[in-house]
Amino acid sequence: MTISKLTLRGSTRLKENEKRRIVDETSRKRRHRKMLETLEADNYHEDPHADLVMSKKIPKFDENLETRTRSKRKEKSADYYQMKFRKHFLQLLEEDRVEAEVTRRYSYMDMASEDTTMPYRHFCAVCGFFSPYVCLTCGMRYCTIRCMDTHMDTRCLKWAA
Amino acid sequence: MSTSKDEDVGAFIEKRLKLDQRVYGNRRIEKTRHRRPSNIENVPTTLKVNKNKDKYVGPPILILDNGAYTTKIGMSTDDAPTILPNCIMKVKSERKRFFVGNQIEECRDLSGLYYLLPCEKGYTVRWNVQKPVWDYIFNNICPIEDKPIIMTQPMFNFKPIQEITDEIFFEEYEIKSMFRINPNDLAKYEYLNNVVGRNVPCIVVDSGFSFTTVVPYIGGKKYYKAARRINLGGKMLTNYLKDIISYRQLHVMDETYVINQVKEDTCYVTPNFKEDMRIASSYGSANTIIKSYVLPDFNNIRRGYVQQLGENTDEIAEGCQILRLNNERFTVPELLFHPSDIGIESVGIVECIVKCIQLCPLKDRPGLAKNIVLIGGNANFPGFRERVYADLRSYLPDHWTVNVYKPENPITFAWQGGKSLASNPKIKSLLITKEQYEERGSAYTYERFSDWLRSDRQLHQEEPKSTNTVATNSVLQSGHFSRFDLFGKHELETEELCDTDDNSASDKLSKESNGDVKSDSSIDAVKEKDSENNDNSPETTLEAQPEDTGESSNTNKINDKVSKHKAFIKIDNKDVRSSEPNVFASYDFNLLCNSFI
Repeated sequence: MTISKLTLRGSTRLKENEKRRIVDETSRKRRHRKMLETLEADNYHEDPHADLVMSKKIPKFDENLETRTRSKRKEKSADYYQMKFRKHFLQLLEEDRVEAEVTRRYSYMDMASEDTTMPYRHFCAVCGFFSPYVCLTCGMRYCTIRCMDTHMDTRCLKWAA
Repeated sequence: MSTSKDEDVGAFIEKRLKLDQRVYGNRRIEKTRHRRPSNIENVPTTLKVNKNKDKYVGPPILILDNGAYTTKIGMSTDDAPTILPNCIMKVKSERKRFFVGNQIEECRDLSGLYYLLPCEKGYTVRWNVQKPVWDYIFNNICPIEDKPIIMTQPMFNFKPIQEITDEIFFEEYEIKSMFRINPNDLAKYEYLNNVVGRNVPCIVVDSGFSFTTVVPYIGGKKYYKAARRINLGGKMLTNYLKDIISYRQLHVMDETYVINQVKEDTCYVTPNFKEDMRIASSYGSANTIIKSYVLPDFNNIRRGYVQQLGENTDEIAEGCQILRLNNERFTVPELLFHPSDIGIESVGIVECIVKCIQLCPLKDRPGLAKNIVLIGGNANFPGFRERVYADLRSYLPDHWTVNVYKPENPITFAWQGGKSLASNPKIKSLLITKEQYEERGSAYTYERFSDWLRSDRQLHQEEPKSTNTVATNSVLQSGHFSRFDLFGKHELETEELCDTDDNSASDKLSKESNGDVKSDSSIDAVKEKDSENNDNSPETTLEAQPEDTGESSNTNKINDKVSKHKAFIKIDNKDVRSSEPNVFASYDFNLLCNSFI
C-alpha cells in the first residue's frame, strides 16, 4: 500500500469510526456455527501427548493387558479395525440415506426433530439474564451498560473481518 | 402370588439340574460360580417370586449397554452393572500412559484431562479407541468367553459399524451368540414387564450424552413415523457450562472432566424459569440460588463440592479456587427444554413429546400420554421429571391422564431391561449364534438386528394417487427392497430387467400414443384398470386381459407386455409381503414385540 497524504492526515476518531463497521449476516452466522462446533467438540485443548517423542520406554496398549485368554492367532490390533473402517460420519450418513431412499424405509435423517415454533428468548451474552438490547455492531445481546462495556471490550466482533 | 411348596421344590430341582449341567458342560464358568449362591439370597423377595414364576434360569448372559460416554456392563446374574467411562483418557501429569475406562480412578491429577471418545454423534466411528476399551473391559471387568451377549446399539446404527462389531465379537472374541438391540427397546421392555405389567403404548425418552431421542411404542413396536431425535445431550450441556464459566469467571476450557462434575453437582431443572431468573438477579440473602463451588486442586481436594453456608472463610484462607454459580445452575439444563436459547433451531424435549403424540394414531394418544419413561443421564437433573410433567400437562388436553415415570436409576434402566430380557426363555430365539454368523455373514445379522429395515415409510403415508407411473414405481421399488436387503449387495436380477423392460415398453407406449389417439385412450383405460386392480391378486389382472382383445393388434401386443410385467411384479411383490423371504422364514420378527410379559 502506498502512503498517500490522505492516509497520513485526518483525525483518528474518524478512522476509528470507519473501522467500526457493522458485521454482516454471513459472519454472524459463521460465528454462531463456530460456537456450536465448540459445543460439539470432545476437547477444547490439544492432545497433551501430541508433542511426545516416542521412545521404547512408552508402553504400548497391549503390554498392560497381559491376561489374554484368547488365541493369539485371532487377535487383531485396534488399528486394523480403524483401517478397515476408514469412514467419516457424514459418509456413513450419506450411504444410509441412499439405502433408505432405495428401500423406502425410515432413516437417521427422518428422525431429526422439527424446528421450534416458539419465539426465541433472548439472553445477555455477558451475564446470562434476559436482555432487551442488541449490539449494533455484531448483533449479540446485552442487558445493561455495564454488560455493554464488557461486551465491547471482549467478545464484540467490531474488529473482526 | 402364592406358590405351593411342590412348585417351589420343582423349580429348585430344575435350577439345580441346569446348574449342574452347566458345570459339567463348561468348566471355565466354575471360577465365577461362587457368586451365584450369595446372589440368590441377596435378591429381594419380590424378585424371587418373579423368578419362581418364570421358572427359567437360563445361562448367564453378558449385558453390555455401550453408551457414548459410559458403558454399563454386567452379567444377567448381577444386581447392578458396572458403570465405567467408555473412553481413553490422557493427562498432562502422567505422560507415559493412557487411562482406559475406569483406570482413571488410579490417576491423581485429573486436571486437563484429554478425552478420546469412540463415538461421534452417538455412533461408534473410532475403532482404535473402542477396541482397546472393550479389550480392557472383557479382560479385567467382565470375562466374555463362551457367553451369549446382549448389546445395545443406537437407532439406525449404520451397516459398516455393525459389520465391524460382528467381526470383533464373533471372530476375535469368539463369543457363542449375540443379540443387539436399541437401548430404548430395553427400557420399554423393562417398563412394560416390571413396572406396568401390561402391553400398553408408551413413549421412551432417552436423554443421553450425544442426543435425546423420543420414541413411541404402540403395541410393543416402535412407531417410526413419530420417533424423533434432538441433537442435544449431556456433552453439549457440559461444554456450554464450560464456555460460560470461562467467559464470566475462570478459564476452565480444558477442564471438561471437572466441569462435568460441577454440572452434576449443582445444576437443576427449574420449575419456573422466569421466577428463578428474578431470584437469581437479586442481591444478598434474597438470592437463594447462588452457590459457591470449591474446585478440586487434586492435592487436598480430590473432588469439588458445593460450599455450605457459614464456612466461607476456610476455603478462602486455604487459597482454593471457588466458582460462583448463579443463573448458570438452571439455564444450562434449560437448553434441553429450549434449544433455541443457544440458537439451535430445534424443538425442546416437551414440545418434541407433544409433537410425537400428535403424529401417532388418534386412539393411542391418551395411552401414550399415560406412559412416558425418562431414561438417560440427563434425567438425573433434580426437577427434571417434575418439569417434563408440568409442561406436558399444560400442553395436553385436560381430561387425559399424564404420567411421567422416572426409574430409580435412569442410567442403568436399559441395562436392567437387558437383564430381564435375559431371563426370558424367548431370548434363545433372538440370539444369533456364531455358526449362523459364519454361515450367513454380516448381512444376516444386519437384517436381524435392524428393525428399522422393516419400517415401511409408505405404510404411514396417505395412499398415493393411483396414477400409473407412481404405482409401477412403488411396486418396483418394493421389489428392490427384498433383494437388496437379503443379500446386502445390489444384484442385477429379475427386478432390474423388469425395470428396463418396462421402461422400454412405456417408451413404446408413448410413441404409440403420439401416433394414434384412439389407441392411447384404450391403453389408458387398461392402465387404469390395472392400477385399480393393484390391490387384488394378480390372477384377476391376467383374467381381465382377454377382454381387451377387440382392440388393434399393435396396442394389444403392448398391453400384453405391460400387463405381463405387472403381473410378474405383483407376484413378486405379493411373495415379499405375504411370506417372509426364505432365509428368514424360520424367524419371527415380531417376537420381541409380542413377548412383552
